[in-house]
Amino acid sequence: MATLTGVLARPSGYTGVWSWITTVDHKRIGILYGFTAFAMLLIAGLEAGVMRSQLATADSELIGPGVFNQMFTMHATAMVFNVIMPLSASFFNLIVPLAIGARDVAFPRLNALSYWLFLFGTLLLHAGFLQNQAPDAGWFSYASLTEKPYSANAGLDFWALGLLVLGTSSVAAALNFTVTIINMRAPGMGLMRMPLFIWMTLITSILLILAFPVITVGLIELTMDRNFGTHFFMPQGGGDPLLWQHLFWVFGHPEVYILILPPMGVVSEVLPAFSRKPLFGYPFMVFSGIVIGIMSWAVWSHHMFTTGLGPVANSVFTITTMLIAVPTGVKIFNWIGTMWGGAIEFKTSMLFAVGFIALFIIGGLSGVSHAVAPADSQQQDTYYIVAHIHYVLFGGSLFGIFAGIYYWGPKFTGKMFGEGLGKLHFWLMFIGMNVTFFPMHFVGMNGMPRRVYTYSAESGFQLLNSLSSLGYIILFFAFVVFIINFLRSSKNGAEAGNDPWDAPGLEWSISSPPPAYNFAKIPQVLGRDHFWIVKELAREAGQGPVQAEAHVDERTIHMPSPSYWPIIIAFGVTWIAGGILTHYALSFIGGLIAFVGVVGWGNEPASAQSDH
Amino acid sequence: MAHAVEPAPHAEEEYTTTGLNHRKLLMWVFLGSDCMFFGTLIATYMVYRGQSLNGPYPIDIINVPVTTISTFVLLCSSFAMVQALAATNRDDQKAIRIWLLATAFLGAIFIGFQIVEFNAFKNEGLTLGVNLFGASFFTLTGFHGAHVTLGVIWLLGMAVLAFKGRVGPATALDVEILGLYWHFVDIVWIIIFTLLYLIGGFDTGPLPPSGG
Amino acid sequence: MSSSHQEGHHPTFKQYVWVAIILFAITIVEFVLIWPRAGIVESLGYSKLPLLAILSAIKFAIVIAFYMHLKFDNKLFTWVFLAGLFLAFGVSVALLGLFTALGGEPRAYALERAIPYDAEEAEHQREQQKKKAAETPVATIAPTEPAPVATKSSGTVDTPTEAPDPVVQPSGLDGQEIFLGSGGCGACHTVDGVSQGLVGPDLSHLGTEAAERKPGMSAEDYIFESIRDPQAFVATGVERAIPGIMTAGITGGLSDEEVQALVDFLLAQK
Repeated sequence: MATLTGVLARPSGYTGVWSWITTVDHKRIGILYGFTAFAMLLIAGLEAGVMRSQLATADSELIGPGVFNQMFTMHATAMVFNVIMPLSASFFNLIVPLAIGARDVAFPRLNALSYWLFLFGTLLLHAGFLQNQAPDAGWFSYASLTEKPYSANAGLDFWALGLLVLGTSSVAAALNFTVTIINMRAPGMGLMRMPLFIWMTLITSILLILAFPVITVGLIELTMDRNFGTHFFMPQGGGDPLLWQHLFWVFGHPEVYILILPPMGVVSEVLPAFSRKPLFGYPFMVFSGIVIGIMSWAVWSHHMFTTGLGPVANSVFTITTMLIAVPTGVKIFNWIGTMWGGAIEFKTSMLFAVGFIALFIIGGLSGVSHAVAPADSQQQDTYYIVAHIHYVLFGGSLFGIFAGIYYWGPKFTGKMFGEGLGKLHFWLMFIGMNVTFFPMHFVGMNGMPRRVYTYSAESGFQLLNSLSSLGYIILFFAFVVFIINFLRSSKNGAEAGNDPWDAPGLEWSISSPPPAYNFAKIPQVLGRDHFWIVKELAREAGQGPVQAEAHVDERTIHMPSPSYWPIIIAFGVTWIAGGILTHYALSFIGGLIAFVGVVGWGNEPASAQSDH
Repeated sequence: MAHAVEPAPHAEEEYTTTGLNHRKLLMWVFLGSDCMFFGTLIATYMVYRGQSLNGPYPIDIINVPVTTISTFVLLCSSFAMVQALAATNRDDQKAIRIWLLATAFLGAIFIGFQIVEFNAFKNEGLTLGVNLFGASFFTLTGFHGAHVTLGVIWLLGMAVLAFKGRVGPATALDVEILGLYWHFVDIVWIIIFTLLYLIGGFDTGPLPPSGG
Repeated sequence: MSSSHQEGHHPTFKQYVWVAIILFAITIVEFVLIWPRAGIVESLGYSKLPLLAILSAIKFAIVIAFYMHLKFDNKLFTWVFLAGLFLAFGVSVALLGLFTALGGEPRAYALERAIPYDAEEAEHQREQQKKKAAETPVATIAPTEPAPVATKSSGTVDTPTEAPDPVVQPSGLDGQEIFLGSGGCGACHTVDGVSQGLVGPDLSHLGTEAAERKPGMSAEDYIFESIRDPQAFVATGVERAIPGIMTAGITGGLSDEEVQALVDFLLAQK
């Protein structure tokens, strides 16, 4: 169909908005993911602020229950699917090709498609707000509450369909990175020489491609219950609401490891750099990550201890859940071993990495207490669980991500971030986080349930809730400080140079920011911590400091060309989902658009002839 | 994907760590993911087997002989697909076109059987909403049928390219990847046929308590 | 360069034909094993399931190994595919175990409520459905009318009663649809032939009973008030009329036209 691709000329520029819309460059896609996810972080954070304002005082009338329900649902859903996952995806995009010595990912257009599906899926998920029908059944949306007539408005359809689109985005990206990591490593980089972040990316990607189909089926069945008259989860028709819980949590538990493994990988990169020591126990770190990935499939019903599974099931899942704490503990000891005896430099990135370890330990300890089924019957659905979640996801994932932002930020902006503001950001966030979430352990054990829009004055929860709400204000300022630091540094920061931290990874051997082609010459990898080896060899040979790889004329290195098909297909796919909410004709049109997109993509070579 | 029968420069000859082609690896990883998708749908069916509150029940509806024929049709289409790939490898242009069209044709016949079958079921009272059997049966076989339909469209597209002379040994990978997808859809049907028809096809509702 | 030359051996035409023949043969064997008229299936007993599973597994394996070339390809592909396959299998088995074997008795609900199976009755139902389908062609397998839900009376087999004719409103709203759909009434209330409720008074004859429920109030007004403000008057002597369960405001999401449609529908339940 030459005429199809000929109608609109294949984009070739690298400047302007159109170049961003049609980009297939992994670095640009990483930036797109990062900015979109950060915007969603602010939005979801404001939703948290609404909740904390309401819960600051007993019997508060500030926010009604209907709006509150929307807040906790969208705060959690957005944080999981629109913030942590895409921030991790941002890192995958920015770092993976550089760290393995590749010029791009295996499928650049598929990569772009993943981003546009993510953006449009996020918009679809939030579209309910426009009609005051945001999803309001909690982020795991248990049946039968989610069925009509109990949730009569369209909110949960937005939730289910938005997540279906987001799922395709995640699976596409995960497929891409799996192939990239297996198949595009530079010569000499065997699997056991890969940076640990790359290992965690690989495990996370495999978890993604295996876990998302399960929730896809669950969401399809929920959509069919709500719109096509089936009774998959409705007892009136013989269905079992528990099946939804099983399907959700078979996905949901690997999902939380998907949320934590990449930040663990980041921490495993940051600690060696700022301890001036290689990662302690590299093979143990790799194998513990693999074991966590495999075992994450065997623990899901610990989210369902109070649903009447019976003593045998509860015991089995108690045991498996306690066992999965072991490889996690292995990682923590190896991180401590990395720092032990090292020449530690507490840059902001290092502070966040160490903060990660401390806070994740606390979250892990409360997690192990949930693992015991009888204890969990007191803790389930209380704020004790909310405390656990936030210690591992905020204190864990988000701290790890910020460690990565401060570590790799200079590589992509070319500027150093301000250390003073960075440290202020860290301390505000560390203190704020503890003030907000530590009291929740106590208020939860004393009986305050989750997902309640208010509590009575007699309950005694007031004091600790006010403390949590105060902590939110501290966190708010932490984010303000970060934004100021980021904006100021991007404009006026000191030049970073290619290797500001004297770090071990391949990515530090090229300029900051990297050229479009990444490496002028694909390196021959000499071992783990390759760039340290290179620098050591140069020192021994008496040569001066190792310079960044010199730039060459971009036109001599052929790179994949930009394409407009990914955004077109993403648009079509979103309309397939959106049409189910509005008119089926729109689904059909969306399908046609996607089909045309696929045909156009298939007929377009990976790089245009003119680019050679 | 390549334009001409000559391989596109920089495409197939790119260095890869394992020596395997990116797209072939992608298809196998995708099939692993699709296993989970169909596995979950099948698990839903198996969990809800015997749970329907009212009829029609499988024994009233399922027609094993007719579906056995459509199973044969799909198995034949897999054979045709394999022949199409072999023809591509030996650059037999006429055979490529014939076998690709044959595969698409047999796949379309299978879909035809499904449509006629489902229509008959609907006329006998089995709908999505009537009971759990209807819900899980139509969802599972419906998504399988959608996969087959996408495969038929892909096959027809490949046949169009074949008629333009653009399918040959240099582009055999494209046919091979299509073949992987097509055979996968076939083996999923083998599982569905065994569970839903051979084993589950004779399920009745709960039997009256003995003694009346 | 075709990357398929990187792999080793390719099966020959004859080998492909043999694979096809074996596939067909196994399918025929499976068919004969389970076909009641062949007479073998009764003697199989419990071995039916593992036997069929093994036969199908063989078919599965030879398609993958030969048609999908996995036997001759790089082992990485095998690992990648088997990971997904074993995981899917494991999760399915675990789910089945949790639902049938490990306690909690999730099946008890269905067993209690389902009507016992009667082959003749099922045949009769099918004939009726076929006749109805022949008269009114329906475009989709999604239901256009509510599913015939079983009503169970003690011990005897009941045929589901015909759903009552829809009462058409000037507003075009269908009261029965609202009863089962956005109103959510059918989840709790029973109406013969329409819904099987779990709590709440049986409304199957509300049309005749409503006038006597609240002294001084007409049937229509009573029903309207009971929908809008359920706690205003709780009938005495009516089974399962329990104060407080149908909370005030639960029908707040319905418009007045929708409530009127419900009222007219319920008045028609004589």
